[in-house]
Amino acid sequence: MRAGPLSDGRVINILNRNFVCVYAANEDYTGPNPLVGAEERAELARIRQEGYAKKLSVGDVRAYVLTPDGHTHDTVPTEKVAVTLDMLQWTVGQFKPQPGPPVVPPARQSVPPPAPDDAVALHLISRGDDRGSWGEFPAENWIVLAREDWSKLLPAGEVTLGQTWELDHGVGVRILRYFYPQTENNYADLDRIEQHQLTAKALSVRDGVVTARIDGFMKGHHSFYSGRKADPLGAAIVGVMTFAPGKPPSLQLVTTSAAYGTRPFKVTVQTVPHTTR
Amino acid sequence: MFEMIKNVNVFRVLGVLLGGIVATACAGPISDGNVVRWVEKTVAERQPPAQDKLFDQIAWVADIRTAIQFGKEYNRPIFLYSGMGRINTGRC
Repeated sequence: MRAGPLSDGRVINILNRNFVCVYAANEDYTGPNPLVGAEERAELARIRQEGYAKKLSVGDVRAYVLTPDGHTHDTVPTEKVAVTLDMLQWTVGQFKPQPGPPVVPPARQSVPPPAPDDAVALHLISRGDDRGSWGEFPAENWIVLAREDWSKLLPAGEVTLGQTWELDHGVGVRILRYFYPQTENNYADLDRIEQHQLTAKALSVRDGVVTARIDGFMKGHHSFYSGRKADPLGAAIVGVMTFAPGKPPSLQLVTTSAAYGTRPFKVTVQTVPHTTR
Repeated sequence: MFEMIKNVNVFRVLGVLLGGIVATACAGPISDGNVVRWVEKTVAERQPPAQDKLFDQIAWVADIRTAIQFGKEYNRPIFLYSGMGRINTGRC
């Protein structure tokens, strides 16, 4: 839906001027460790139950129109922009809201999670070289490394020019687990990564600040759909890490070549500022 | 037949890929002198353009209960999308 109606200017305009908009990730609401509280989970369950009672096509992936007081009114078709737009216009005709500015200012929806002040937040962007459908917009992940994690990326003691060292295997795999293009399945278990290595080499040491290049690779497998056969995954990686002793490092990684089955893809990882918790 | 062709293609692509990995690990196609600038430039080039982030132009509220609160306050219908994965990060 994001690649279709939810990226269409007309749909965005009618939503912002007439509706209150919200999205929910099912895994936050269900399963053994739901992220949201009981009251919020109960609301989504109620909305679905009301949909069943109205004999609507309720499912795991659905858009709904609710009444202003939160009761299930209808589902919204999402396959084609024109049909979605028709449904939203029809809804506006029914409820006759007073059109106006959005109820909250639009804001970036993919943001780094709050983390301790001395943590390192990494932003990963992965995208197949294909466009349209699964390739229409990039996938993102946020990786937070606590001090005890990023410390393992740095060598012990004073660094000399040309010195090489391997980045910690366990911390490295936590970054490389998300080196796969856009797929429906997003269970990125660590054991999908069969081999990997990230090696650093100090290129400069100035006033205690070390700039190191990183070369490496990862090989593994990943299933496009959950529970289906996995396809091979591999990437060659180059990067740069800058750090001062005892301070959080700045890290940038990029794939120089990467493929998932026959599908080439590209990944970048970079350190970004984060909010403190 | 299709599976066979697909498998051949997988091995071709992985062969090229592994060649790249070996070249990177052994010789390094990007010289030490150029690597910092090259990585910075590549990271910048691969950031999503504005047209890939139109989803962010929608005024999403934080959760369903907040949506209902605003729905009542502004007398507006509520648009709710629920799905597998995270539509905001594209991992869906």
